[in-house]
Amino acid sequence: MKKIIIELIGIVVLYALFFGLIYLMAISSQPLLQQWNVVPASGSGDEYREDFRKWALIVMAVSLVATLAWYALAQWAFRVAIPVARSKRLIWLLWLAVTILAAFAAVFLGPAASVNAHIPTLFYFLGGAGFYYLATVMFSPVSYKYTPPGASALRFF
Amino acid sequence: MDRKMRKTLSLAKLTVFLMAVGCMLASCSFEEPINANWPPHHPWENALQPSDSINVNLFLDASGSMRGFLAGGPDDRYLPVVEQLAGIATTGGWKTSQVKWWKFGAHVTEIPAKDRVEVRDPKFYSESTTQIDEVFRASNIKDLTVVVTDLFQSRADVDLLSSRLNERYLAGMRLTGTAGSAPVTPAVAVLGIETRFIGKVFELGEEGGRERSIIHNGTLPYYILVFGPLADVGQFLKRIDERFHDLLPHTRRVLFAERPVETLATQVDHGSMQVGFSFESNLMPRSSGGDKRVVQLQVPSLSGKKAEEADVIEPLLDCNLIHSGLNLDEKSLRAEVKGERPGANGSFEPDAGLAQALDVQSIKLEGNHLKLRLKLLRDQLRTGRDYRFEVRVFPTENAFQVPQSVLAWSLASNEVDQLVARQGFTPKGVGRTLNLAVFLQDLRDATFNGKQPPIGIVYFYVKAT
Repeated sequence: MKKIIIELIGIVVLYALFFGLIYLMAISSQPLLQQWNVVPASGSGDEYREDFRKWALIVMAVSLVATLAWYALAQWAFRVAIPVARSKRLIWLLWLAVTILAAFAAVFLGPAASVNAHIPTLFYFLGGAGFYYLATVMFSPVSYKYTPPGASALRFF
Repeated sequence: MDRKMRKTLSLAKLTVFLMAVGCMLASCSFEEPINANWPPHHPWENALQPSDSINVNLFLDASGSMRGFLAGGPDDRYLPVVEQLAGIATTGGWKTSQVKWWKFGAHVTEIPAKDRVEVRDPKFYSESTTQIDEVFRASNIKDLTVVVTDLFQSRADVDLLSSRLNERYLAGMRLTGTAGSAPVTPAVAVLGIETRFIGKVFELGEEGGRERSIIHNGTLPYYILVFGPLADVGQFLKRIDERFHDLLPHTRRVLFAERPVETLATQVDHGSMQVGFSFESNLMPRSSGGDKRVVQLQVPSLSGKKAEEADVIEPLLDCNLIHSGLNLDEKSLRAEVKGERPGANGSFEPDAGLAQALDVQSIKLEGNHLKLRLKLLRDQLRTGRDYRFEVRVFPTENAFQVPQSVLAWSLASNEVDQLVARQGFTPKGVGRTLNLAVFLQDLRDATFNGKQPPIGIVYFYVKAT
């Protein structure tokens, strides 16, 4: 039980760190989107960043749900097993696909930029899929800790 | 290394990595914008305020030619108006107003308050000459001066009157503004009212040593000239409108004042059209107090095709022109651009070369809005610098013109001989005023020539990144 709590706290802390990126990108007094010359295709910079923030929150929320869903499945739904690489990887990939879909939705439905549009696009993918990947690599339950690709190289505990 | 140790190390590595990324991102920030010599506010940003208390001097032309206006009848628009002028002055909206009647002809004489002004008495109009010039000696420029006259004048008299109005009001009052205080905006209003006229029309020159005249039975305009501070003149005209609704079809009005707007816009809408730059709200120094006259633009350097298309700004600002009765030719609106760059002492300094960085492509007056189309030439800006631009929109000297409907009431000097020969105006007894056009054109020229009164000022704070 203690381990579960630590892992969940780990996910939340990691999420908070990613969440802080949204603040740095769009909310602070000198937002990074502005400093990196992300120029909106229409409307003002403030309006653009407000929209960006909304979509970034959506992507991050979807990503958190995917991470927690994967964790819950791995912890309580799947059978306890000896950690084996690729075990239940298809399910892990399905949740990854959900986060990627959310990122695509943000890119196409969210605010458009006319200059340096790759920066918010990268953020959506790194914030969504990146968080999911890092959180599942770091904090997946022991039985499935090697399911995320590359986890065997990154996870030592 | 045991397992626990490796685990701790792994977590520590991750934490350090994330903290490093965070610090790197947070350290990227703009330099603090320049923080000095913010553009001062123009006095015209404040609404016109009528005086608290006012002295109103009513001058009534007592020359013999005015008798014709006593014709009476249903078309009489002289006696009902003139008899109520004092009432209008006392209930004009000023907290206190002191009204004096004056009679003018060869001389100006005050009519004591205890005496009734015999407007209806033909004997009142007994003067043979009209020295309108005398009026200016009797009236203070800060007072509201109201002159009732037929304005039927020789060319020499017209020149004298218009030059006096220019010296004393249109140019003179402007000079009374001192540094630090808002200059007084003077105004001269000419309100013409067409009314019934039966009598002799003079000022038609001499023939054989005798002054020529004709008998006229029809209509002829008389005029109420109002001089003084713009807000008070406007207030007085407004009261006349309120009191005499049915006069409107029979009146012509022009107001000459250097100030063309009720108020200069204090905020600007940056418009929606943009490519390749960003409208921002946080570029200016905090000391600017979020000045809403300023469009803040972040302009990144671009290359290739994007650089060519990324340049159009269409700001929109309120522009409530004063109803002067003058026609404004919108094609005669111009803009002047002044550019400033950061100077050595931390403040902005004018840079004449920068005026070309912001090209005014069009100016449109759409209802009460002034719409500009500007092209920003980003290749003239240096990355990493803040710039400030002032765009001042003004009418050219000839932008305001006296409307044809007013000029149609004018009788030119070269028509006088025909008038005398014909012994009357045509058609249908509609009388006209001698040299009215010259008088009004003189006032127009005095008001606008050599001046560039702003109808809109917009600032741009540009951060080239």
